[in-house]
Amino acid sequence: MPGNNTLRIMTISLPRWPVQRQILQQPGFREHPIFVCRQNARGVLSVVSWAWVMPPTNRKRSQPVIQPGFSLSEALAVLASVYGEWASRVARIIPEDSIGDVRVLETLGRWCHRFSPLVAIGPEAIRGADRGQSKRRGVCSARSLQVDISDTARFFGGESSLVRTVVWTLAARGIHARAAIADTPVASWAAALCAAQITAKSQHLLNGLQKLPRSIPRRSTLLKKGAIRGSHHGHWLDRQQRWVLVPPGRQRQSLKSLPLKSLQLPVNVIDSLAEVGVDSIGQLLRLPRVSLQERFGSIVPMQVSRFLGDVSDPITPLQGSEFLAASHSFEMPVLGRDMESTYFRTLIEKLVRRCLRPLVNANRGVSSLQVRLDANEGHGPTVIEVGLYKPTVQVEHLVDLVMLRLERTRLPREIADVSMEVMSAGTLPYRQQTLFHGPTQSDPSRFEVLLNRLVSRLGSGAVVEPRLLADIQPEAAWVAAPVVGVIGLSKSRRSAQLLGSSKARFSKPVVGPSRPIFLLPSPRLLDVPSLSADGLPARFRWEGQFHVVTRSRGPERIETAWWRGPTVRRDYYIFETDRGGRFWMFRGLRKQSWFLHGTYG
Amino acid sequence: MIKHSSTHPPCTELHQVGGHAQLRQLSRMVSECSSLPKCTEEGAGPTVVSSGLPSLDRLLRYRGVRLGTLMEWLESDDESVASASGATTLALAVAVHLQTTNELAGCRPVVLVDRGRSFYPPSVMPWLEQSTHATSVKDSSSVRGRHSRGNVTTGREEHSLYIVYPANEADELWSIDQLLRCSGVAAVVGWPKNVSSTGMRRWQMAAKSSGTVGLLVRPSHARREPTWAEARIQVEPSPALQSRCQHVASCKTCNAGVQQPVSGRWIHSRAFTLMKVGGQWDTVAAVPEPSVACVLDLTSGKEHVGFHGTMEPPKCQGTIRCAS
Repeated sequence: MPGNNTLRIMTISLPRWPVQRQILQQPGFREHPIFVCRQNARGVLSVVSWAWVMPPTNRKRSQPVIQPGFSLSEALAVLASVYGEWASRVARIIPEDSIGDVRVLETLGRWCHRFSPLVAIGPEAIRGADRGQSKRRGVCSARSLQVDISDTARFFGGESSLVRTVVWTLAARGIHARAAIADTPVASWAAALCAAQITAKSQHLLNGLQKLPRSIPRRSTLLKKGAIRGSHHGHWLDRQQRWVLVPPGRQRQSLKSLPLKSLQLPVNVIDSLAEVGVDSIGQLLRLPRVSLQERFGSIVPMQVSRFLGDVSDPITPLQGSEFLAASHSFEMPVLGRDMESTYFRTLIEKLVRRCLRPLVNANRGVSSLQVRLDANEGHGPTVIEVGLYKPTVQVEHLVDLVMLRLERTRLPREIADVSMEVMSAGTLPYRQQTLFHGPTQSDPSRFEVLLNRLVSRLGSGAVVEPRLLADIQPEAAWVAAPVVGVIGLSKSRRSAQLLGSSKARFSKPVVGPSRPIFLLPSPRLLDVPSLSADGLPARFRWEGQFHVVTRSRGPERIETAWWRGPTVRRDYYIFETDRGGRFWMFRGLRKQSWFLHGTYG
Repeated sequence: MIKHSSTHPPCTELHQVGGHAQLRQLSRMVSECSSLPKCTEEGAGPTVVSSGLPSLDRLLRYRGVRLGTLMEWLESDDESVASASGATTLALAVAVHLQTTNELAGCRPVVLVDRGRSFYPPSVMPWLEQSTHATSVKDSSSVRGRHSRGNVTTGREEHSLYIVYPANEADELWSIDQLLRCSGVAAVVGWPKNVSSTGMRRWQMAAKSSGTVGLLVRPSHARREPTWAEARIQVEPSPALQSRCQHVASCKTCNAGVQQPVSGRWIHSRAFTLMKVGGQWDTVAAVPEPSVACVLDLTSGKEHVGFHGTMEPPKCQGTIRCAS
């Protein structure tokens, strides 16, 4: 057991996090090959991460080798070569959503508060940091969380027990993780990232005198316990090693065989070192730091010092982990139907005030709030999350939002405990003071209050700002950006992320009178009984009524790139009928059928 | 209504002149005066603003849109083209004008309540961008020194259009009610299908309290229902007028603000006949219903004020139509 003054950091590495997150949110994706892709400046989609949790079971095949950074076409070709062409047709191609990834990671980080109060998001593992992969650099392959367990491991039966608990508990939630404990964040991160490369023998050595689990849990055991719901043969995540314990002060000896990419060094530095035959941490540690500084600047000696613990390297805790929380336990459980009473409102107000007190002094406000209603044993808690458009310290407003959510929530029959936690806080927006406030003067803060109310009742996805995207396909030409949704990220950053995806493309958004006011959720096949000489509909039937076309304009050919998945090839026309109606229709170029896609309402 | 402009002395100077107590007292007195019922509209800020469509202004009682009121837009009687008749297009054109007009203080967004999730923003976004750009240029050259669209004073990021997606009818009615109560919204556009007289009255009171304009696009059968809207406009596409637009140029606004023909594509404009079919508690009655023709430029969301080519300017048709 490490001494009380020894810093111990546990890193939880989450390989293929973009895909894991998608599968967590949509379990139906387990049956399809999933490709999370990013579009580069030339419009080519490259694979950020991929997985096929449940591949076909009838024949045993080798796993396709698809590296992050492959172009999508390359990846689909590899997939087709292993499983057949049909596999590439059923593949699901999902655009990268790094904001969503971070959001879920933050949620997971808050869940990890049960292990320690200090939890931080660790650095990304950048794929392509290996030698010879210069063309595929910059793709994030794994995310991580770092937990300061210096004084908390003993509550879980020691480090060995804790690390096992973390990995198993996450596995039971459908999250595949690797964990490592070491003295410094850098060493811990390196061990977690490369846990698969550490053999069972070295694992035994690493654990030193600590009691080592007799065996790594077998896959059959995990399946029996429901911890893994994975493929029938092989596994989409290699499970050679799920956890590593580096004894205190032994990171130099224990991790010397790990590659340099685990030191979080820049790719060009790794390449330069590889050219002179330095490939591992051990080889790097043998070089004098003075000469390293002269050759590569301060970055390499700094990382070495952080790895060895020669310099202080504190982790930055997650926002909302300052324990701005308040709770109230009832002497006797109260009925859920009493939650709308004045007493309960007063209670919520009291909890809000208690949470806000430290924030007000720091000129900060609440951005998101979580209320948890714990029922008796045997029933899960009811959790309500309230997100805000802008940070606020208005107690009445916050209480209103919580009560609004409670009205729409199915509450447990009995409630024993109510707790409230500030999930994220932000600096209060600067607002110039005005001398007089007339009753009819429009105040922007009123609109913000309104947005918060709307979001609280309707949900975060129900109040959006439309943003144009430069995508030729009409369905993808705009995106609805929730005004309150990405908790913990500033609005400007969200906007930049959303717009960033459109800036990377070539063409400008297609807008204006050539686009309809209403777009149908999906194109509807039309009955076209008669065509004109030029092959356009002379009459068509829609909603049981015949329409006579008087004039038309088109075609506007829309054809999506083949690498985007199922190709869309359409000739769009604007038709005006004898009664003055205006419709947006297209002819599918494959089957030459006519579809209605929008109306000029 | 007090407008903030550069003519007001900065707070710091006032602090030097008098103490905090005097300032608070003065502020309270002004608040009390402002909260008194208005006997006259003079000096209280504009209560009627142009709809942005001159033809429509001629049709409305106050020659413009009265703030804090509802306006109903009825789709065409012809069910086959009801959803493609252009009522929404006109409602959005008015909403965009209210959002960008210089007659109102502050930069307030337009909010759409779209329960059907079928509104397609790329059709309207250019209107907002053009109008905002034009307004910004005017603002920068304005002697009044009105706050720019960037809203520096509040630090709020500017967005001129928001969409609300209610999941059911109850949420839709609640959302419209909440939006109409907020003075920070320029206009609310909704497509409520069924709303009771009580609900409509509630909306009217909400709009009146905030000064927000509600633009409700409704099916034509709503004409038979009583309404609390200030005006009820039935929109019929006008094929005859539209056919004359064949050779009428689409217009763009040049720097001098004069509209000039640039191209001859008919899809850039659309012709309508607007009929006023009753207002607040006007039930169906055999009264003359005035109508006007209106040709909307779909590239800018503005009405064609002057016509070049074969088409004559739209004017009041003087149609007398008795409701059946």
